[in-house]
Amino acid sequence: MFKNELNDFKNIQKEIKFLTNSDNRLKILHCLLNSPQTLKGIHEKTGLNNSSISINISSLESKGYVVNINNIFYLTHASKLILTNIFYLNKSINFLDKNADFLNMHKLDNLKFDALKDISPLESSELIESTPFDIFKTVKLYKEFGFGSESIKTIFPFMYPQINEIFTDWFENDVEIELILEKKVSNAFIESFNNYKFDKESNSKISVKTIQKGLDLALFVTDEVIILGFYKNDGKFDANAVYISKEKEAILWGMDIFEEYKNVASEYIYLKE
Amino acid sequence: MKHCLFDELDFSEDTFDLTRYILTSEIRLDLLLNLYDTSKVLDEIKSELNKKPENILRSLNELIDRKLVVKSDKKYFLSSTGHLLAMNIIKLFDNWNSIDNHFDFWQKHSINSFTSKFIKKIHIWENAELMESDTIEFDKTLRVFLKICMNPDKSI
Repeated sequence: MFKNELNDFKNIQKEIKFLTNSDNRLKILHCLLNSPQTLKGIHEKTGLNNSSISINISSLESKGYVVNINNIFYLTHASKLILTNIFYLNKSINFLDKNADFLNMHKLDNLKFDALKDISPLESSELIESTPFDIFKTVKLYKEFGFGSESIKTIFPFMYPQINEIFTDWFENDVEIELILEKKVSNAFIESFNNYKFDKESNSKISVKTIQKGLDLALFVTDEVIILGFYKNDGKFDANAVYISKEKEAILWGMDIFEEYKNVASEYIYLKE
Repeated sequence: MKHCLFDELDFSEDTFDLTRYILTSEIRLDLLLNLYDTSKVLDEIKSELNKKPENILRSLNELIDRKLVVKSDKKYFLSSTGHLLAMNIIKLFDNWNSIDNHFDFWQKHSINSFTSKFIKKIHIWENAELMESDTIEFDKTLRVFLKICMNPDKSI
């Protein structure tokens, strides 16, 4: 089963097939992932008949995934680590399948971020699309979730329409904003900032990184939400559709992407009143 | 009571259909990985995969139906979803190798406090070197640890 003889693609693929090909086996593995069980405990938790349980447990034992200690069955630690990865990959695959039509209209094959090797956090996300009756639906999301946030990290492909309103909110509250902008947008943003009339002092910190090459995606992450947008296959940013999630795992995932993007951008410019 | 990720994981409602469809078929998996980050004509694919041509063509068409592969101007390449899928699968294999390389270590130590993020990024330990104290150098691991703490910019 494990050990070095399996350190190659074909053998790993065979083992994945063994683990996932049977619904009954998956039920048993999921049950043992949560806690060790007796045969009776497995039967009670899975509802499977004793014959199926015995056959599958025997196979899992012979391959080294499960050990029997005093008639209590345990997954090995390596098995737990492997299964956790398989189950999360399954979440990623289900997300991709559910969103295939939308995602395939967008250019994603140029995205090389490490965070994209695990997109299971997006499983909780919702696709929000503008409609003919509400063409600014997605743009309004940035305002809705940006106002009142204490911290915003954003990779933004366009100049927000009511930027002065945004500045007012930022300077009335102590916020920390990190922006990664394309060169043209960055220049426009800094110019707007320099033209903005400040009524009072503020403890807010706004910093801008400029990226010389084009952006690959749009990202907006606060402590409470992640909003993610993509470029279409024709190279234009799709301002009419974004994914949004308020789940902590998705938000942390978004912060990871932001950190990776920071490394390819210029140094921060810290804006002051 | 200490937090344990494994107590909380719940994948019971997740369907496995597409995962099985991809991962349990050697040829479909081969095709996805073969086309990762590149586009190829059929003859190139045939020459690189040790499979019957009719099986390759049938599987390619299946993957096209599943919107994972695109055919354009006689070239095959991964769709956006196919590209992300391949990235995620490659990571699974990398994680598997890493876990296997240190099987004994993981088995001898508690993993209950691991986070999902640590488990999903476990491939970073694939080429890690295991350093162990022994009866001659009882404090070896502590000494190495302190040396790194005191000289964080220097490698040992």
